Amino acid sequence: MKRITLTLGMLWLLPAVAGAQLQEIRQTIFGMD
Amino acid sequence: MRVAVKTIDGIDSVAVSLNRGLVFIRLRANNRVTLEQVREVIRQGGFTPKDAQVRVRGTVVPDSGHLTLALPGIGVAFRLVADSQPPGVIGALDAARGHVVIVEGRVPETARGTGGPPRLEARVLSKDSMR
Repeated sequence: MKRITLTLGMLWLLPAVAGAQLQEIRQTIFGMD
Repeated sequence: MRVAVKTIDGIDSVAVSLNRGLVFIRLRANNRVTLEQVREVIRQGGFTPKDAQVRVRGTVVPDSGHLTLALPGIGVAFRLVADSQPPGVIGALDAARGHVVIVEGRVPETARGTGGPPRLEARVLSKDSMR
């Protein structure tokens, strides 16, 4: 079986999926409190 | 800081709890926001972003022997890792190759300018019926 390796640079070639995105972020922070 | 984060295009709502050291962000549909973009705004506000819990929708693709959650429209990817995953999630990720999924998990803190895709420690995986 022929194996195809995808590199990150090839991500742009993937079909854009509508709604592929961050939906929610809970970011912890440190500093000036 | 709430105001600064809210200025990022695609942010729906921001809540900041300095007591808990937490910024809670909901994002609009079809946004192009990246986690690094949010973290940079937080750094500019004088805070240090640590790890984050995220919910993200993307496509599971293999990349050089690893599984990656790709957001091709944004040009961003998360490297999916097995660390501290409950049983079943690893197999589910592998079976989801090529599929659009919603993943919830932890993205550890990253130093500014660190290369490579951020690591996403998947905790919850759900297939997305919306294609």
